[in-house]
Amino acid sequence: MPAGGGWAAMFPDEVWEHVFSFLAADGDRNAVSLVCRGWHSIERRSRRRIFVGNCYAVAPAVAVRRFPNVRVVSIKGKPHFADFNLVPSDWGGRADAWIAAMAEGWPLLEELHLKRMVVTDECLELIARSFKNFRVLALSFCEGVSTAGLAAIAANCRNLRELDLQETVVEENCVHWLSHFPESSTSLVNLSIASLEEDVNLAVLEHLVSRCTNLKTLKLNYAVPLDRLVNLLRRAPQLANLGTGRFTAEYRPELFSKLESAFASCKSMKSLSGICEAVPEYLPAIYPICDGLTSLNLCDAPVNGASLTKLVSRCKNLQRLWVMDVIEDDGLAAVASSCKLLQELRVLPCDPYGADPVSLTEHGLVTVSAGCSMLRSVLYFCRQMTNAALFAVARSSPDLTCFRLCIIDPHTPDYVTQEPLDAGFSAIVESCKDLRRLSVSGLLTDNVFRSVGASADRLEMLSIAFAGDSDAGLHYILSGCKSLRKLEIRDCPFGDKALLANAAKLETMRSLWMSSCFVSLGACRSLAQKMPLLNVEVMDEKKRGGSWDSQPDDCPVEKLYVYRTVAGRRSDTPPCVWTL
Amino acid sequence: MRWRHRACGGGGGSSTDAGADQCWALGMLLRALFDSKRRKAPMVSASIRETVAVRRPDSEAKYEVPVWPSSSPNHRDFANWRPIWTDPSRLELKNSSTMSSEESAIEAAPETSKKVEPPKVVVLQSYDGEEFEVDLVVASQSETIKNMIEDGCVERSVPLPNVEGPVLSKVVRYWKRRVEGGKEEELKQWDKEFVEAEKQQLLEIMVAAHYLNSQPLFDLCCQAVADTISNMTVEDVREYFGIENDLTPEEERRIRDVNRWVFD
Repeated sequence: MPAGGGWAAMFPDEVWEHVFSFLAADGDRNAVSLVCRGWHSIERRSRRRIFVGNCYAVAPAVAVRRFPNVRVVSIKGKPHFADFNLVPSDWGGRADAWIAAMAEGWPLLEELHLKRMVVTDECLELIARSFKNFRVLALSFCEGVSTAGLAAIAANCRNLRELDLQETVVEENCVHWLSHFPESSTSLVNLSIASLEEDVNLAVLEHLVSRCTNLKTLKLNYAVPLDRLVNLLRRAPQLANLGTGRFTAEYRPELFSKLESAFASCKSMKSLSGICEAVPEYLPAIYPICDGLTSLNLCDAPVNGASLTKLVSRCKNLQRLWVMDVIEDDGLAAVASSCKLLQELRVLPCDPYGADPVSLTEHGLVTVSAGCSMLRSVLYFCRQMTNAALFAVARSSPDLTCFRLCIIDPHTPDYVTQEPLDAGFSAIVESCKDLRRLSVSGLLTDNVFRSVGASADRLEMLSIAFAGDSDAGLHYILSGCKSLRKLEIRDCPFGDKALLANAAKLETMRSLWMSSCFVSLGACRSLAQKMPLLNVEVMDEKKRGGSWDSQPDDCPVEKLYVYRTVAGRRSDTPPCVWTL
Repeated sequence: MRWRHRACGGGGGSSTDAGADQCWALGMLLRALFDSKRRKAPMVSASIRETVAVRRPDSEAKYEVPVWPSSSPNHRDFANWRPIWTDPSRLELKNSSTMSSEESAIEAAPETSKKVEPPKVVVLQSYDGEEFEVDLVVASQSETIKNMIEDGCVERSVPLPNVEGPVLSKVVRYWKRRVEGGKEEELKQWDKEFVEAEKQQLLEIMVAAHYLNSQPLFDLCCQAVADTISNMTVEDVREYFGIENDLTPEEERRIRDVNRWVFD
């Protein structure tokens, strides 16, 4: 057998390149890149999309060099718990270095997707200047930009198709940024500005929407009132994904009928969100599009359960429903009987710290699980749970891929038996063989983690809060859970022993977050020494200015973030973060 | 996948226009291999093997003619398969006298090629002598053949010295179905069944489609091969294609780590 690519190299590279172009999954392209030198070379030159799950796992220049022809890049920065304000605000996740390297090495870049990163106006200006084919800018959960930066993008990216600012905090210093889209710009397909708080120039927006005849996704911010929504819908009846602004106004029959007919003319509407502070009187205006909706997000609509129920019952083709707990068990029962195609359910708390009782209990979840056989993903906030309910869910939804249960008060036991919820969660992991994401809550001992470690073979992400008794819990997880990539823990009695005993496991995972646990500085130092390819970052916001070196080994570590990297220590740690 | 290894068979076409056919076969071979668009007639040298070796600088490595490997009982038949254009014995012409007549034929060709009426029916000749009579519209599914016909080089037969008979028959079957047309879903279903039925020779059909510049068939085969590779481990892929690993253990480990740690 000839050495090297040998036989396979006799095909022209174009043939293999074309075969590889049909491999969508990164895992497959990664496998192909290991087959032989020839394939490695063909693959790396032909890879067009890359996903970097941790921006600090590699130096930007290295990524750009390895894949010189990338067109679409997706990068994630801060750990997930940053969404709950657990990560110091100056921790990092800056996009500058990446964008500079990309400007240098990928002049043909078309799409940039950043999540939980700090992006600045300088970054946006560099993007606007450097990539002549730039089409998609998607910043989700990012911060640091202002509308001046958006103006630069609007003005210079001639073929911009998508500007998506989902949940990104934007400083609003340039009121007329929308006007920077030139008159000739008609390429927009997605404009999502729901996170902007200030007014936008509505006349300019209407004109932009009119001339962008391919616009499919429009997500407005709260500042857009109901009557202007009518104008926008009339100009864009082809919309498929709509996020309304505020859905509240004094009831006026003629506004209602205009709104209703505007919705009725949107024959392609598939997804609806926004509906901020909806008043029940205007909800029926949405009825004309309910039948076609596959996705409905009512998380900003704290309207009473009965009105929500009437609305949701009409959405027979719903696949995704995000709603607040004001929908109550009755509303979820209606969902279970009407939305037979439901795949994803999220129930978020309207008033998590309030005293007002809400009739949303474990029954709602059980009913939806029983009635919707296609249910795959659940995020459920509630105040009470029983093992029996979890057994029922495990039985009726064995195909769950994501199960996140958040019982609002920590350490809440099964309210009927007063037992921990170990048995219930164990049933979930044992029954749902394809479970990829799990969040546990309530009163839990180490036993549940034994089941999770043993049964959750496909689990990739696990979130634990206020659970467990001892190190054994952490040890069960780290010594099991074959596919674990991300582990995030807060306020659990897990400590040094389990961490050090399973140090090698950490190299098989993307990252580990532990905050308010029983981890000592000494253990972190040992871990860093044992595993040189891990970055072990300890954080304590109170210690600003002090020296970490002088702290004793038994000093408790408030926040710990460990991740594997080929880039070595990062150079941009703020004072409250120390890489050991 | 079992690949039938064809022994060196007879020469090219046996039509009366042997010389002209052979020179146009040569032209088409080179054109298909190196140019997907029509360009001027390529350079000719002393033997076809050398001609194959005369190429654009960047394809230098691609067409290196290897030493024919000894067959190993441990490899599947498939692993011993080689594209026929790399088999020196298949590519050499019978004798050098035909060579000089070819050379002159090629030089003469530009003057003698007059616009001939495109034939309604052409005969595709595989390298091993099988003939397939097909309508013009069917044969035009191949950009390569279509260009030849438009250039007025084809009177009736089209020698395809790079495609074996059994493979060509599958390709023709695909083309015929395409020409028949029909609803999108029906065609898709037929495609699925075609790929399933022709699993054994998928790689040969894929390369033939590339050589013949028949994009829909090429896409279909590449997708099917990609589907096969998908979810395979690296070792499985190597075994499946009979590829030897030439990365050092250190290199392999490094790439594997970077792949998994960064790009997954």
